[in-house]
Amino acid sequence: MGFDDIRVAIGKGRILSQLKPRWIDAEFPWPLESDSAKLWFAASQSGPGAIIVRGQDVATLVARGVADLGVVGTDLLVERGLNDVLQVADLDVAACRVVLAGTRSTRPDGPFLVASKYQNITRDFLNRNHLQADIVPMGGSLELAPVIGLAPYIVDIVDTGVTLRQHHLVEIETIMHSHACLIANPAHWRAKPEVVAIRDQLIRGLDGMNQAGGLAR
Amino acid sequence: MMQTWLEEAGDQFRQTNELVGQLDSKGFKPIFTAPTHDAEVRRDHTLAIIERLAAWSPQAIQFPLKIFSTGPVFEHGGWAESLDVEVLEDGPGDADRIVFDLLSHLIAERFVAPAQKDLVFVAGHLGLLRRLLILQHWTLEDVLALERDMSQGKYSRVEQSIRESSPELLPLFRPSSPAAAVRHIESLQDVVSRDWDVSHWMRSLPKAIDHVPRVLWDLSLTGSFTYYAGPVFALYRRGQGAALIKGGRFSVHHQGRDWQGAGFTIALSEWFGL
Repeated sequence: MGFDDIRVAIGKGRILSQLKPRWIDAEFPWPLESDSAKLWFAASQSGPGAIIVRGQDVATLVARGVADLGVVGTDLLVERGLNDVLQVADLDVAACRVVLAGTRSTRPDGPFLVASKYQNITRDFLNRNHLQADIVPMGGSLELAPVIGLAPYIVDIVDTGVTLRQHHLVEIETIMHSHACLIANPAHWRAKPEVVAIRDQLIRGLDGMNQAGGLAR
Repeated sequence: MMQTWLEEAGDQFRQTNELVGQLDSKGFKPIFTAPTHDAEVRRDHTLAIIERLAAWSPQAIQFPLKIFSTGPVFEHGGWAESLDVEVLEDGPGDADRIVFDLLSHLIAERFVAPAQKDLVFVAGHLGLLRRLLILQHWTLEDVLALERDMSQGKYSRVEQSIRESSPELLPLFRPSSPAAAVRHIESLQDVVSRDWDVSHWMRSLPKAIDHVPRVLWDLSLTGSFTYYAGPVFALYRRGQGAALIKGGRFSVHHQGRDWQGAGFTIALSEWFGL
């Protein structure tokens, strides 16, 4: 079984760097060239190709069938809120949390402003907790918002918490846990046996995964 | 450039008309439904058709009723042109056979060799899924939760639930040949008796769908709508990132009346390979 027409969309940053060991453990050749600014890498007989994009765009590429598989944070999948891809495996990499943070460690009292790139997750959190807030949409560098007076609170991802501390911010509460997830285009998942094979190979070795195998096709 | 664009649109219009002509020749009648109604957009033709039909008394409708509707539906954040075909019946009848005969005819007309070799027909069965899980002592609540996860694409969560409670069923939740799936189910002697009726249907699938070289079975295929009640299916073409056809047997309770039958939706952009 060759993989030469299979492409995997991978989110830039932490997911990309933390995925590499798992990819190599799965005995696929790592398609990225070091020190290259290239964002597209061809597939080969022995392994799928890769498309490197912003995390927010991974699911779009997979849903539209441009990529067969994608690796993306569950935070971005929840934020996107569409059911047009299959979540086919939880990968044990790039764990982080989406948190409410501010200059004080207590929940705001009364109406407030909160800056976030996660507008849907934030809106859902506010509704569930009966909190009144206006969301200030930002694309990144959220920890700046309280410092420059844009909004006293932020909803953002936290890994180690160092960035928050450097900006004198504290976590108030965790809204959701996130980790890297392997997603598949539903049509490619069912029409291309190689897509299922790549998934099985990538999760080989994870606890309890891939024990059953499949039947003849 | 604009001329090319206009010619492509003209081609799609003519091809859609040819498709409608084929349905007309098979005795299917059009039902016109609105793309928006009461500030709601049309996400699906089936319910829109049933809403129109509900204006007629039960005595006025002659079953089996062979109908179709065309126009855009709103799905996954955008509009997509589609053609929806339904066969309604007032009890167990021929709807499945009529639908599969029509499917085979349309596929043969649209895809001549060698284009047929890339087609993959995948079937699932919600009735069988429920039966297998209930026989494994799943509660109805847990079965419905699993179906909800499947319709939302949460395959890894479904796999985890099955692995924990009924690991012997796990191979049925990924694409396999119908014959292999039947053999596997028959090997689960404590799960299901040998006289189960779906077996015949599964075995006959490859013959029922002429002209499609690969017919697969996948219990994780459940369809996107809650009204699916038995067999569900989708037609894919290797290399195309969306189903060409999705459908199945449905059962709908609407305004105090029960509606049942079988049908499918053709995604026109995918069908024409645009």
